[in-house]
Formats: sequence, structure tokens, C-alpha cells
Amino acid sequence: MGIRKGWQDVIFEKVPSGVDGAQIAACLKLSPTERLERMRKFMLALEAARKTDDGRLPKSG
Amino acid sequence: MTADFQSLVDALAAKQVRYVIVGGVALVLQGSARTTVDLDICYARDQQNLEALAAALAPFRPTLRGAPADLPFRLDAATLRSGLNFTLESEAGDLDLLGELTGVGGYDQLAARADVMELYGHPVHVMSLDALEAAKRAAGRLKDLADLAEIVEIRRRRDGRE
Repeated sequence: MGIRKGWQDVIFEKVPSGVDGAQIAACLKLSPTERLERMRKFMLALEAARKTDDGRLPKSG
Repeated sequence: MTADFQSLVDALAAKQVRYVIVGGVALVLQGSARTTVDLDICYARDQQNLEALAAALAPFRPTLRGAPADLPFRLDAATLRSGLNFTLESEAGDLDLLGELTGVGGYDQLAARADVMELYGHPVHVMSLDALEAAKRAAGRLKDLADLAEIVEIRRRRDGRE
């Protein structure tokens, strides 16, 4: 599937993307199931934090 | 509510539903560090698959997301046949059923180029990085810029350029 360049590339040439390469590298070391579960657990922790009075993440361990 | 991805994938596998995971979950499976709460799938629209899809989702009692609670809705093969894209909420979380993706096509086009990954012990078709890039470019929204930047980075790291 050929990718045609578009207006987005003009922006990428002028503005740093700010993508955290270390995060991507860490994700790529995981299996697909681990990648999805890691993201899901993060989102569940956020949901739990939203339910607390002060919005802080619950203490782990 | 973050979707219970495993329950959904298990149910789809049990009924042998033919689908491709697309959208945010596909990006995560491809290595993106982004987050999402729902599962988006592009499904095959033959009668057998529509029946399998409706049967797989029935235990989760899907309804139209954002619709009034008293609006009658039944997700069966006839409903799926008469529509194309459905945004649903269910007891396993939010789920988008897409018959077609702008800039990419339907199930056949996506499946032909999809990556097969093992997810919760099942082989599943996942939208390829190239197809994700094409869809993001076709969508043309500002919010897709961040995803496009991640796709470039994932490809660079997979190719061992970093």
C-alpha cells in the first residue's frame, strides 16, 4: 500500500513530533497481549483515581 | 469505562467471528504508547459472520452508545445488515463495529494486509502499520498527527534505525 505524502509532512518537517522514543521502545519489547494489558491497567488506575475524593492515584502494594 | 478486551476477544474467537482490530487498540498492539478505552473492529459483512458477531456480543448486552435508554435496540444480523458502522456500549465496555474505514476499505482489504498476532491466546488480525498510516492520513484530523508521528517512530525502531 503506497503512502502518499500530505499536509502532515509539512508540519513534521517544521515541528518536532515530541514522541517519546523510550516509551515506544519499551512497548516493542512486550508481547501484543502485554502491550494491551499494560495500557488497560493504566486506564483502570486512572478511572480509580477519578473516583477518589482528591483525584490521586491509589497507593500500590 | 475501559473495555474488557480479553472478554471481547475471547467471545469473538469462540464464535469464529472474522474481523480486524483497528483504531487505537491496533496502534497499541503495533507498539504505540497511546491509550484508548474502547475496541474498534472492522467486520466481514457476509450473513454467516453477521450472525456470529451478533451471537458473540449478545452476552454483553450491547446498546447504541449515547442513545436514550428507552430507545429499543437489538443487535442481530438484520440490524448489522441494515447499517454499516455502529458505536456501542456494553457490559464489557465500549465497542465500535465498522463495516468500512475511510481511505482503506472494508474487511477484505484490511484482512489482506493485516498482521496476525496472538492476543489472549487467540490469533487475531490487526490493522497493519501501513494501513493505520493510510487511515490516519485520510482522516486528516489534527488529533491524528500525534498517531502519525508515533507510527513513524515505531517503524524506525522496528527497522533498527535507532
